[in-house]
Amino acid sequence: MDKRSPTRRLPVTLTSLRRASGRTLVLKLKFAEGVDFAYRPGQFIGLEAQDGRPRFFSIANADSTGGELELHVSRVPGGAFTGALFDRAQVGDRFWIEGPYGNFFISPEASTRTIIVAGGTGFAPIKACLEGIARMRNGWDAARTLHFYWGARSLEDLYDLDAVRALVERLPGMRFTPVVDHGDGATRSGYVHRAVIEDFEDLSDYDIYACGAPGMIEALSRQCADERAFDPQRLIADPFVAGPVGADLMAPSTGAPVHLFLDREVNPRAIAGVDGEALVTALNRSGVALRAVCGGKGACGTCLVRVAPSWRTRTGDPARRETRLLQFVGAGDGDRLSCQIRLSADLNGLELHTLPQHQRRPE
Amino acid sequence: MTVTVPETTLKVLNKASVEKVGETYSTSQMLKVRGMTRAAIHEIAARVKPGMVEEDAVEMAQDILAESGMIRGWHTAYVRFGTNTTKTFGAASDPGVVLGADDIFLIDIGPVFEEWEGDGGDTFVTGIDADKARCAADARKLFHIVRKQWQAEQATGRTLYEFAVAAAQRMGWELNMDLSGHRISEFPHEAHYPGPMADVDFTPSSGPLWVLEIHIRHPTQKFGAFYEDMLLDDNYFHDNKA
Repeated sequence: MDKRSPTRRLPVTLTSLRRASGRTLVLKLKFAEGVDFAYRPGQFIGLEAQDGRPRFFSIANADSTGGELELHVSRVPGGAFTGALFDRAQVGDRFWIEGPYGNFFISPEASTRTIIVAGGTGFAPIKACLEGIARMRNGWDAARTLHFYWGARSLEDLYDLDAVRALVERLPGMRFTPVVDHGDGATRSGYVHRAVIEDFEDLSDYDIYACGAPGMIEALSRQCADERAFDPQRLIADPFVAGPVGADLMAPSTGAPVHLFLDREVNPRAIAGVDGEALVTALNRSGVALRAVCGGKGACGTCLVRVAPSWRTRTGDPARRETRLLQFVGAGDGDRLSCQIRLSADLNGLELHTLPQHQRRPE
Repeated sequence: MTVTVPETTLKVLNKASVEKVGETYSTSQMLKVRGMTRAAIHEIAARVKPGMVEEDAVEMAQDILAESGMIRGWHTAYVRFGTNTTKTFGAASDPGVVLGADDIFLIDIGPVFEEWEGDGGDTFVTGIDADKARCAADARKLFHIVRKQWQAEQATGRTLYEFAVAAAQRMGWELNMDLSGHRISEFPHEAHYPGPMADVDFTPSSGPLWVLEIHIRHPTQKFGAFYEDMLLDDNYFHDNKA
């Protein structure tokens, strides 16, 4: 799977527009005749809005053999682009798409202990991956048990539930659990990440694949780690990222993504870094706005972040010069210069706290 | 696709905004840091010896700055040996360069003492190579030629560096315009103006509010020299012969 599909910008025509629920649209976009758009299940594309900026959506079908891409769009409150799609888009409308991007992928050779968690339209990339596996000859080992949890606010938001059940039947050994925030008795009730914790006593030997809102993914990773011995390094996540953050999302095409979770208590969000880059680069690309006056050379002490206690062993000890500067700026326990932490697979799931004052001085 | 430049990016480089200072700015403290910076440069230079690896010299320079109460730097300390003296600001040195017995090296430090920024640089030779010695001497000489032009002609930042390019060429060197002066103030000066002096169309004030940088390179050989100090009039220099 190392071969990457080339990124392209192509025109598409809207061929199908279905309101799958009050908050969900299922779109089908058709390429021009003869266009072969190659991608891997789990990847996403940018759909260009009128302002020329792309908005990013996971591809919900396993391949574009039929010349079409399926996208699941949930309405963003106050969002101009998704609002226009819901209210004004019509079959026959033309758009530009760019992509494919991203490295999310569920391997059919994944661990025998695998849990997949989707929140809302986070189901889309998982649908593509599961369709792909179902189509493979001997693609899925029936002796394995795979758990799939799909959570949403209400039963209506678990759109296309019958199609999901049909897909699940093609994957022997798969257990599907729909979860809604407030169930009606027939459907599991509560938050989807709590359902996972309720069902498993020990998650120390599990891989968890998760797609959905950053807050859900962060809560899933942290609470499974705190309460069920889950190793956050075994989280493979595809968080939604709001807004025009194309550069951030595109960056993983140059290296494996390293998922980072920020400020879990106050303003939880997930961002994607890239294997090999400095932490400060990932943070600033995602709008954290650390000063980093010296340009990431470890000299100025204006890119401080606090590493969560459970991650401090993995981020390692600061070098002599960094220790000296940390003492000088009055850094607290776990504070590090983010320019001195190089991202790697070991740090996938890293939890950080941004500090209110990036430029500190001694008393 | 039409690109619209947001109004906020169309910032006019007027003198009042570019030369702003913060509440903690102090002329006397800035001059004190200047003295500490010059002293540190000479202490670092005195401890650099032929046979030393550049990375060890950088470590040594950082230790000297820390011992002098300048742990923080608004930029990192550079000590560059031999062919690395042609590298521009911020560029990584080629690793493992050992200083020769007839070689050239430069020092460029940007320390912060308490609230105030220093910035300075100088170039030294270890042997008798006449070209290298002339290069090091000319960087200092050109610094003063350009500084005197500012003092005598009230040159703007832009015309001052146009003058510097031509003067360097007449001396047989190429001026690296990546290093073309900048603000200095209470830390960090980038809050006021992060750009080069060569971009401003007014006469930089004395202050001290600015530093003048001169990085010259040999037109064909792989060495260069650097000299940098605050932009001040003759009264602040004992060794100001242009």
